[in-house]
Amino acid sequence: MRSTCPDGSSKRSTPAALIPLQRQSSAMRWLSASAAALVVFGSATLPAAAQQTPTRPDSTPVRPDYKSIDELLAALPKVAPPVFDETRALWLGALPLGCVDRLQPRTTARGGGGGGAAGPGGSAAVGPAAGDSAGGRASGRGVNTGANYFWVASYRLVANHNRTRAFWGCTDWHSAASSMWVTVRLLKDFPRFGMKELSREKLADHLGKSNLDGELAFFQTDAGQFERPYGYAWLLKLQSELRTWPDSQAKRWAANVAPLASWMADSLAAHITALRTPVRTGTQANTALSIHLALDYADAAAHVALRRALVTAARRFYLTDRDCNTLAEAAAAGRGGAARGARAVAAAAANDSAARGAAAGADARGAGAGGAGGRGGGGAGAAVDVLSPCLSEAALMARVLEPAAFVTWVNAFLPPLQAGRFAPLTEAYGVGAVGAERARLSALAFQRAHAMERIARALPAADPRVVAWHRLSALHADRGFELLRDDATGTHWVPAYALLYLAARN
Amino acid sequence: MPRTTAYSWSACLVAALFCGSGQATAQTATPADSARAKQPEFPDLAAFFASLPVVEPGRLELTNAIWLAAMPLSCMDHPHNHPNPVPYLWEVTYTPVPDYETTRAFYGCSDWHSAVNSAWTLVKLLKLVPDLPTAVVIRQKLNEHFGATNMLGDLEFFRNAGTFELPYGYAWLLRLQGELRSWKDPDAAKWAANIQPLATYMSQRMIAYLKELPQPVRTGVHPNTAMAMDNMLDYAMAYDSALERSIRENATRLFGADKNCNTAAEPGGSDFASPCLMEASIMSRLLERTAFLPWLDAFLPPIHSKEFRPLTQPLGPEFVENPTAIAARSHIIALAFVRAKSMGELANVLPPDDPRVPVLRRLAAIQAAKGFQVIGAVGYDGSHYYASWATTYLITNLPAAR
Repeated sequence: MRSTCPDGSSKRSTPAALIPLQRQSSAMRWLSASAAALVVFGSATLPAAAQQTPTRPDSTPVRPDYKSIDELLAALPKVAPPVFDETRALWLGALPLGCVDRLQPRTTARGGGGGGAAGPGGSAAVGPAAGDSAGGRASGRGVNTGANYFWVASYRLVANHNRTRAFWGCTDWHSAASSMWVTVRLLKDFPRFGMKELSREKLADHLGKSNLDGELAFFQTDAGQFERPYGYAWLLKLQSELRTWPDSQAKRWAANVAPLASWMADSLAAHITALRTPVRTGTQANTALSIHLALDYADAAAHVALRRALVTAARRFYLTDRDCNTLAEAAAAGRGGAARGARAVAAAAANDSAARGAAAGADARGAGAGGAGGRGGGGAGAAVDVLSPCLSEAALMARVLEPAAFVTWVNAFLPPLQAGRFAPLTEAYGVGAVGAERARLSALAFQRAHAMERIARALPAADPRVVAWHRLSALHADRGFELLRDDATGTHWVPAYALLYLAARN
Repeated sequence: MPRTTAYSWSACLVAALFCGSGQATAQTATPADSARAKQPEFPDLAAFFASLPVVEPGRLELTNAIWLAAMPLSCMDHPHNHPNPVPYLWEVTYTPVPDYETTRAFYGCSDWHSAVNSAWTLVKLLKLVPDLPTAVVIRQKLNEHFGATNMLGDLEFFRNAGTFELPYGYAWLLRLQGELRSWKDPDAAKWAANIQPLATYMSQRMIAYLKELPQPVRTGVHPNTAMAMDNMLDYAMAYDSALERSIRENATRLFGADKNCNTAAEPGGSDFASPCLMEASIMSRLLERTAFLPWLDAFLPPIHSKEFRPLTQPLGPEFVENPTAIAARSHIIALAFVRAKSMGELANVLPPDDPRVPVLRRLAAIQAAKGFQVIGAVGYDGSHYYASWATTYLITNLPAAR
């Protein structure tokens, strides 16, 4: 992916530079120090072995248990939650504006995966010039899927794409949709901020009636499982925001989006209902995350049938879950579970019709080439998680279950926060990461922070864990902004995760 | 499609009852599980063995060799499907690579690695059953695909193909080459000479790949690390000491300390291999028996235990009764053969008087019988690669392998 913005990158760095840095650097010190501590414990004293549940010994080193929540809190640095002020809103709002008009690369992932680096995109790809082959760039992530082993591809832009498509920028469909959501949400929260006209201009360009009519026609005829469920969920999230915005322009946009949203709501409800087992990977195919996003729409649109389908499925998938495997969630080291996941099904699998056949996503571990767009990530064994499976599930159940039932459920599902087994969800990561890896870890930090907020807010106010969840959430969010600020790779999709977290605090 | 399997429906149904999925753990709970929740518990291995239906191990015979070979024969020239991208923003048209018949070797059987393992299947069956009546057409097919220009074209392609087919396809290519080089046959010598530059290149890439691998890939599909090692070990041990050293070092690094394999996570919905069994299988071949036995005991749960049950969970009845459900998930049939192969290999490595040997062989036979029962059920989605894994299982029962 390019590190510069096609319309000039200088304005992107300006708002970032305005963010106060003190807190970030203190968190950075703590995270580095605790990383060193992990190494010491892991190699020298091995106190962890006795505490490990029978899990893969290579999953992650484990620190010893703290005696109590208080001891955990004492070990954590005091980091205040990042402020959600106009400066931060301008920063987050500027990033989508830099991508919404940048053509998606010639071949995009089949489904809700993405979030990776863009392939040849932008205006350069419009011409037939570089149309040498599909393969070398087929995935759009620098991974050769081998498509050009036998077939030579030639490309043509869809006719009138700027009038018959709405979400054709930001590398992939779901990132375009989530970028629109970011733009809308920030306009709602900061109606008079400095980019209000520019933001509205872009929304008007993309959310016109003909654009959305074209989208609906595309999804009803050509799309198959394209972007289901993750992209659908983001579209619904966008529409939930538009519907609840008392604004004359927004009313028009909401009316334009409504038929597509309604169609996707029905399709998603049917899909989730038919799913035998949820996708539990840390990729964007993760079922819990999509249900979570779609629930916002079900509430905003008072879509009773969708809400019932989502809640029923969530209970069917997760209610009896216990002992989530937090040890598999080491962010920096990668994750066995992730390696079993969609994107580790490298190019080899992507070409396999059988693997595609499995794309219904009905895989407990989500090997589903399914929602995730099974191709990409050729670096087998590399970490791919952009979210925490354990926390995304817990955050969903926090809004599905009644408070008392949730407390019982989460006590059985997550280890105590002070337990060594919980350490992977508090660990240091991302210090030296660059590019797509940095973007991934940034999103992961925000998603964890978001989920932790949701969990904290579902617990009784007097529960001693509430403080700890909030503290951890702040740490992760702080880390997320740190990682987002100085690398452009994730700027077309990570801001949505950042804003999910900020919005969860309201 | 083939109907020569001797295994009866009833045996399979019994197998479904006793080896049923159970595993009503939280991670896999579905409504269907409740009906199967009542699992018999077994106090020991003998009781478990007694509960298994009697199913004879599959044997490689002339009849099944002919129809197994017919599958790769029928797909070698069936070109890869072209990608089918969703025409959201870009419309794509495809034309075949010019002169593909002379500049590409493995352009059939749906995908590159399946073309390679299909070729391996033909070579292996022809080696084992030289009097195959279809031998002449098999040789013609191999000759057309294994030409010098074809292989040079493939080498040229792979020099610029990034991680495409690494490691799964690479490992199969090396397995194919090992089979060719150990075949005393003039055609095979010629083909092996043509393939060697590609094999050498892939071996070098593989060594670098394993060296850089931070942790094993434990998925039940193509990128599985243990499976790659398993597939190429014969070639490495016979012809490539650097690769053999790499496999040994990295297997020790990645798997040596493993304990308590997470059987509860199996099988994943799209798995065609058992990660636990595949890892046990490669370690059984790499470790001395005295080292392997304690490693295995720490790694896999006792065969009669409830924890082992996910590894024997057969196709659910919903698939047997509903062919279209299978068609959507063709890997589940391959899984039966790949598990059977792994169990068969484990049985062959254990001391002959180890009480687990007959149990593993029986479990392997039950799995394979289930696979053979539905081997034709999904059409091309399966026929382009099932024969490779079915053959791989059958050869674990050859006298030479035991």
